[in-house]
Amino acid sequence: MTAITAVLPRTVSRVVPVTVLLVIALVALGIVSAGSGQLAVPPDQVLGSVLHRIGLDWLPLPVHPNGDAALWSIRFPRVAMAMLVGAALATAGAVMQGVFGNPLADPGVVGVSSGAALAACAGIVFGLSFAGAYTTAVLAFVGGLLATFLVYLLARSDGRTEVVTLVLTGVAVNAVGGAGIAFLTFLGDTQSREQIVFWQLGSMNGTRWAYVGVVAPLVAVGVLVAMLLARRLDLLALGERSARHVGVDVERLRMASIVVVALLTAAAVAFCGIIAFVGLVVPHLIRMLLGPGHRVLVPLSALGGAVLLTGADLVARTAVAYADLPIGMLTALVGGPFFFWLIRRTRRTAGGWA
Amino acid sequence: MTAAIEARDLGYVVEDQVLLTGVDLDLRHGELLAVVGPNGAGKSTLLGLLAGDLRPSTGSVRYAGRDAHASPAADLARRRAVLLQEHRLSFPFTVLDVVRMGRAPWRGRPEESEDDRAVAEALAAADVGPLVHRRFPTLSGGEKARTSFARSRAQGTGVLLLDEPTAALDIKHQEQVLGHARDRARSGDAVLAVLHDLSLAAAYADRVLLLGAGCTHGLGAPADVLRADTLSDLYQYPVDVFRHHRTGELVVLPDRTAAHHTVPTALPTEALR
Repeated sequence: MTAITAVLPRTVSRVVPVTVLLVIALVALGIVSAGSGQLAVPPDQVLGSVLHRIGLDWLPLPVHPNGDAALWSIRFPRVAMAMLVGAALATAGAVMQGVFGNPLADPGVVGVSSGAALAACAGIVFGLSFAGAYTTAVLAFVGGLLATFLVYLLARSDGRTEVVTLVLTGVAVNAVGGAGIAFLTFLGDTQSREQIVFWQLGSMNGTRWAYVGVVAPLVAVGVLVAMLLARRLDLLALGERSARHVGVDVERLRMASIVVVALLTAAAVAFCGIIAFVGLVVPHLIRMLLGPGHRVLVPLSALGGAVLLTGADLVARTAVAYADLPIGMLTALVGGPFFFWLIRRTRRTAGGWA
Repeated sequence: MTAAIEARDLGYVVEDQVLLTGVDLDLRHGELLAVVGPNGAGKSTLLGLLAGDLRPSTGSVRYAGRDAHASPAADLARRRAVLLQEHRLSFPFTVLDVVRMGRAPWRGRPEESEDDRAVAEALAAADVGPLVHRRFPTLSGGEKARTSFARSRAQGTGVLLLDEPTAALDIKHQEQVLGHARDRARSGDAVLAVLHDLSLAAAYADRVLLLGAGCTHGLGAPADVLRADTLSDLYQYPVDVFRHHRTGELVVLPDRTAAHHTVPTALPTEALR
């Protein structure tokens, strides 16, 4: 058997070091982010506060009288939400790219996010509350699902999606979604208008534990199902016919993936609005570092997305003193040029698609 | 020899265009069957029908008595492997990753323990061993074709359907790939290959199926099917068939000296269709 092992060399995996680095980055960013703001709490006191809650008497508690309360009622839920939303968006991007067989698919770019936001905005303006705290999330899910199906049906032909078709379909779907949101803004009263503006900018501001409680299970389920689909998404890269030849039920895989993308996008959009380009940037970087295999790509995109959005939220809160910048604006500011670079680059190398 | 695939009265119609009609074919264990014919004869359509990709308009395709369309994709994937003409990949997987994908149907089954051996054999058979760490999009056309061949080979099924496996290959690799396909047939597999090179078909096939305009124009031993008059008629170009003076092999060549007279008359009718 020595001959065989010689023919099949094992590659030295970079997965473990990258994972460790990302986890360290996530924890560090989380602590710094929780400690930053108008009421600054040093990192050791942030950590001390957490350890005290779980019954460990290490490290000092926050010195400021309101420190502990600020951390637990405002900062921690916000940091947790940034991590969840980042993980959701990046995973949704990775799955969507796998299904479309196209590295430029992103829930924001192709209009799924605006579909979800449109439905959520309709809920705000018409004062819907049929599912209690989950109403917005349910509406966002339905809107996202419809938009995903629409994009999917419109952009595909002959079992593949051309980049031009995909991007233009995104333009069209975004235009219609934007028009719908504009119309709702026109219809709504002052309060709902403010809420709608908040959607479109995207922000973690005002996150409460109750919101985190709604988003967390959705993201957990979404990421888990995405990981279960990973192996089949690899095979789908062969093209639909060849994927079927190696035993993939392509129709079922597609439907499952679309539902996952809609679920994750809805989870992200439900309370924080439109945050574009995370799903594009993160999976791409992970692919460059660790290759295109979805079994690694999906979980590490989730992790990388959490790191990116935690960092972005920290910048949003601290870049300008006494101002909470909209995070969607920030990600678009960075993601837009990245998207352009990606188009240029993939055009030049033409990695299997035109 | 028993039939691995039984096709009866097979027909395929799309938008009122009859692409294939009335084809009866048994692909047997232990044989390499070459499918030949001019462009648009229905070769790839036939392969798509046999693979279970296309739903026949008439007739049926059966694997061991079971209708191809009644079988789940996973079951079918353990019965037959398919090599298509197009070799594209959405993401830059390595050659080794791609060949390993051929083992997907066996996941969670006893045969999974054969994975490494099957992959190593397939890499050797397609001569892509030195390329294992190359990313698929960086390969040349012929290297991509060989990688795809290795993938279909690694699948380790008793039926192998190959659509122009030699189209992009140099002489050495043409011989290697078809030689390997014939070896598989010798050891009991059923192999079908769509080929354009008629001399190659004559050299490697046990039987030849000649298609023209969606119909069967001959099915049998190469020497019986590949005849100068039939081929000249079907390809609308003078074709010469003779035995090689040294090896005695059947050689099929276009007769370029006779071509000047026949081509101009053949072209207009073709163009008017």
